Amino acid sequence: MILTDLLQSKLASFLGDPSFPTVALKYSQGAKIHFYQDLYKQYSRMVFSHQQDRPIAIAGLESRLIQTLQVRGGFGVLEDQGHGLLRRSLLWKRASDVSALERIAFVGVGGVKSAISPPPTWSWTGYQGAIEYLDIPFGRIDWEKGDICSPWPSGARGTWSYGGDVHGRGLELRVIARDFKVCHVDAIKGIVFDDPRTWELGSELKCVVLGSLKAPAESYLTRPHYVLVVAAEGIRPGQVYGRVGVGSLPGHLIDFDQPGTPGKVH
Amino acid sequence: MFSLYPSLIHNYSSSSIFPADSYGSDVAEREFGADPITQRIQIGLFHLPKEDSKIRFEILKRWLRDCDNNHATCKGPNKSRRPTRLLDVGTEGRPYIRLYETQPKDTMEYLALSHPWGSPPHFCTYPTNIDEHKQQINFHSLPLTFQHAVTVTRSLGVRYLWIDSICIIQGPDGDFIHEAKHMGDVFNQAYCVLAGTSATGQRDGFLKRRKQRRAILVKQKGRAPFYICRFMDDFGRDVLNSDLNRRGWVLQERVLARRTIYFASQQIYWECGQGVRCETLTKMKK
Repeated sequence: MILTDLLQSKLASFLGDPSFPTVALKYSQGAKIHFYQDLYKQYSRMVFSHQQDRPIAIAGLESRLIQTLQVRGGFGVLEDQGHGLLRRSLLWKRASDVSALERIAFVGVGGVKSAISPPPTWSWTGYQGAIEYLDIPFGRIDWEKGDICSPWPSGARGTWSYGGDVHGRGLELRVIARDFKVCHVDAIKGIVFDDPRTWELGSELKCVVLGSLKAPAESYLTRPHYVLVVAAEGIRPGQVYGRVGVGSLPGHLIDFDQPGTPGKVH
Repeated sequence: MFSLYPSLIHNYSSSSIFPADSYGSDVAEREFGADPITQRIQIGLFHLPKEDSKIRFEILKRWLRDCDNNHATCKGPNKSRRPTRLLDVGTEGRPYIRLYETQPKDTMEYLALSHPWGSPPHFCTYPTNIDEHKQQINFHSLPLTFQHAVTVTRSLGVRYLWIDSICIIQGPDGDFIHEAKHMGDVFNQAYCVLAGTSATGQRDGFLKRRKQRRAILVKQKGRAPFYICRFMDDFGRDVLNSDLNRRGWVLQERVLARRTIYFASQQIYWECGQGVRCETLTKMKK
């Protein structure tokens, strides 16, 4: 029989892998990261007749991915014993062809409370719309260790959080939030807001620094820093934030002079 | 006028060439005589079997058997717990349908249906009718897509079938949220997945009547005759770009399934770790 070449899609390498995702076990760390990012990017583009299915319809794939790769995670975010995996998987952004990511309302039918708890604001599974990831080079990043804590501080390998389980609720990132050194955050070129329509100019925006590009000859003032943009909710103490965006900006736009405000991103 | 050049035989963007003898009677692939020209012609079906013919199901059985016997990695170990519930569809000789609650030690093989629900009403199991479904489900009360799934399951000699809306209790008092966690396993452990690619919902089915492609018979003196027809093996168009394939649920179904039969509107495709096969008998490797 004459054979024909099949599609070049990146997914083709593991579609039809009878024991997904064992093919990824042989990958380098960088290749593993591209692997799950491609998977989630593809998934975020797909169609749902019920948006509330978004965190659920990936459950089978994600639990298997986490188990096989022996990492921790859930809600489209992964973590291992290093620092890069968690931070890279948090640094997702609204895709360039999407004008706004809409927050999904997790409501039950007929006034009954939904059986699935809404994903955290730092998870893309709580939003309708396609995502991509910040373009962050491999091997050249200083990951910020003090300004963010894992949502799974004591989780064993293979720990998977699911919104339909009791222990999958209320996952938070404990963070140090810093001020911007500019008045008009929306004017910063490297920032991508998840939903440009809904955040208010007056609301208190801060950033959580996840890492910066290594450049020994350069001062931190000019080096790119990778941040989550968060908006303060509620009143102190126990400051609570919600994620509103992500971005890359030079260090001189971030207030490192002050110690920053501890809080939680829900 | 035709000329048989290698470039013509390999020009899959515009035409395919088939030996005339292969239509209808024998779907087995075979060498075609000692003629050096026709040896290089692809063997296949220029006209597809009728939608309800036994030959269609025979092709599917042979694909399954070939994969079972020759592909070491495709058929996985049958170790995991079965899905919570399965439809017991009986056999072609003794057909019946009832919902079966699996037991921890069960190891039966089953097929899993991937399909778009489409617009309501949907045929579902609820707390109010689960006992009735465990007694009996009338074939003719099923929507057409499910009837087709049951028919295909029986014709492949398999007794158990998983359909999400029936095997998972729906509604606010159902077990959907709990079962959703295990759906990856349902598709991964299935003996084979049936993808109703050509269906738009539960009611329109996926074993549809298709337009046959036109074929030209070419006879030459002293040589075996052959057909020329329009190339139609387009997995990308028929499956990858289908509406079903864009649904979010389908990603994990497609990634985790070991073997899938796609009932597309033009023809049926088979996909496993070794590649794609078409009802026209073309093979595609990854």
